[in-house]
Amino acid sequence: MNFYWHLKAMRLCVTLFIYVYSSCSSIYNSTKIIMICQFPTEILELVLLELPILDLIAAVKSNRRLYDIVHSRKSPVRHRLVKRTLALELQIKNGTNYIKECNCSNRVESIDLLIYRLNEQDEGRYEEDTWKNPNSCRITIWSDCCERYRRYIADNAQNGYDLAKPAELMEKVGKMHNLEEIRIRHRTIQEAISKFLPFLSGLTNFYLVKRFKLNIGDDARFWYEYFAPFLTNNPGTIRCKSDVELRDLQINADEFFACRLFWKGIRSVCYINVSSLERSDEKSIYHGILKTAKIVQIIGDNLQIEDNDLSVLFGVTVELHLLGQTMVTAGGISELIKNLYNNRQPKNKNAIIKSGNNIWPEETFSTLPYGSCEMLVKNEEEEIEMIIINKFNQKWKIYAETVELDFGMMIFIEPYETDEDDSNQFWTQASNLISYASNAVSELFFTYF
Amino acid sequence: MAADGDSMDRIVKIKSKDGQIFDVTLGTIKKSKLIMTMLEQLGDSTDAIPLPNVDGSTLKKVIEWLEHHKEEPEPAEEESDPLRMRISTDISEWDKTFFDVEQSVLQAYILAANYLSIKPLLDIGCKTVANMIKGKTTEQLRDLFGLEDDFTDEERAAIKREYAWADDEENQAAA
Repeated sequence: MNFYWHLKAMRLCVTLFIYVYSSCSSIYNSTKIIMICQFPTEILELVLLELPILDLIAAVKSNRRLYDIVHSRKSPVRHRLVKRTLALELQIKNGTNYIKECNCSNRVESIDLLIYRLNEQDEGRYEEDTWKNPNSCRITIWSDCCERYRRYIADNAQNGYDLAKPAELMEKVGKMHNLEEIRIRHRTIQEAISKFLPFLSGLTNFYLVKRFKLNIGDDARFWYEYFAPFLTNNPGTIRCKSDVELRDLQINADEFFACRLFWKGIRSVCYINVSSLERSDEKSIYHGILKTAKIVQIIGDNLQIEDNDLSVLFGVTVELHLLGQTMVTAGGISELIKNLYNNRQPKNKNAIIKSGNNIWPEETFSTLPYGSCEMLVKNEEEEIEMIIINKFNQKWKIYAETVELDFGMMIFIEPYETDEDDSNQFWTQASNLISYASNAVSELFFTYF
Repeated sequence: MAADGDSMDRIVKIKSKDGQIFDVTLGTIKKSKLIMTMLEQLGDSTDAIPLPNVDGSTLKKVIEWLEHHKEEPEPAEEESDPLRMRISTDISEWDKTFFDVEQSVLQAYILAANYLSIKPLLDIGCKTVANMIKGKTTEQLRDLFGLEDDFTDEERAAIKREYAWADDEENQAAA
């Protein structure tokens, strides 16, 4: 009997709870509904005009009323939805060559925004060709070098200028390679940046940014002070994974990659002579975000990369180029080869790894099943070339050569192309890269010593 | 109406929908084009100006906003080109706090700004709503504003095709 009443009471409680919950939920929903739905069309248009194009599209897709407002013949918002796509490259680097009027040779910082407008026919060309698109321009601002230059600018600049009004801003317009070059008139670089940032925000609200590359050399001060905080607060449509190239820099990787731009990971990373601000922890530049990059290129003197990093940090990397002395051993390369053999790999997966050790994993090849690997070349000049066929019938060429200069070894892994042209292309690219890397390292050497 | 010197200290009475009367200086209320037009039409009358579309609590907050911003210069006339890039994305901390309210209250502020024709207040209100939308997916927007997905399957498919160019995997809403 007692149990019966307990059950009855429990059922009553549950019914009561469901009733209260559904009432609260409907009251909550009704309070939510009123805002967007009860705005008159002209206010909704004002709200929608404030949105970057991606958010506008998300809004349009959410509800028929919003769709109809945007698509009505008289709506000003309708014109925002035209397909406009861009690839952008932001360069922050040494710009001493921009100052022609002064020969003081003091250091000058420059900020370049390369804007590549992508047309219908550029669809699918966001990879390498994007950056050669002739339908593009470069906007440049730069810091003053000395008092003499400041006077020159003061004499030649107008009192006010606005990046949204092009006629007032141009110091120079010209053609440089494939780019329309626009130099912006300004006094101090801080003043120019204060105009430049809202312009960048407007641009990235209006156009959909399909590719974004950040390229910083020598000094990242302006990035930390101005660009990183601004892009964190105003992401606009830069929501793609960025390409990052850093050259001759000391960084705190945690601080650098904290910007909202990198919250979704990065597409590629290129370090050239990058070191850590914390001398005691050089490895900290290999931030966890590198795991998300499909293309990793690290060029330097002493890379401090060990076996474990190959699988943990660069496990999903498609193109891995470690062009500097690593601490990788034959054991690390062996794991790489086993992974190559056991798992399906992206078609264009390739790697170049340099080490101070002998890293040819001789024993690993002997453990692979009969017929899955074939020695092509082994000669007295310490060159070895091997082909392996993995479990998924993908073929890879593994090539090693001794580096005479520092008695180390370099290993190249690339898809095995029976087509001579494709194979040659890889080797041309690889040799270009290696000579580029050795130049970069020797430049660093002569700069500091 | 002339808006100079001493006339800015003139007290104007305004009356909300629920009968509350507020005394404000002309210098405070001058950003409202509606009230300025009504004052021109009323001449020297000291009667309270009726504002039948704004309730007392909202009007009190609008006056607070006007009071805070009364020293700010009038914004430049809007460019005629509706496609202009809206490049001022910043909202001051004070305004952020002012608009940090429930959706129904925010809606009341925006509707009041629209009715009273106070453009800067309307602009900031619209920016606030836009900021609520930014970075959200379509589903998240429906959830946030209680919007009904009232498209047919065919319409949904057509819209998907229409905006396929922006549907890049890497260009989804911000993390």
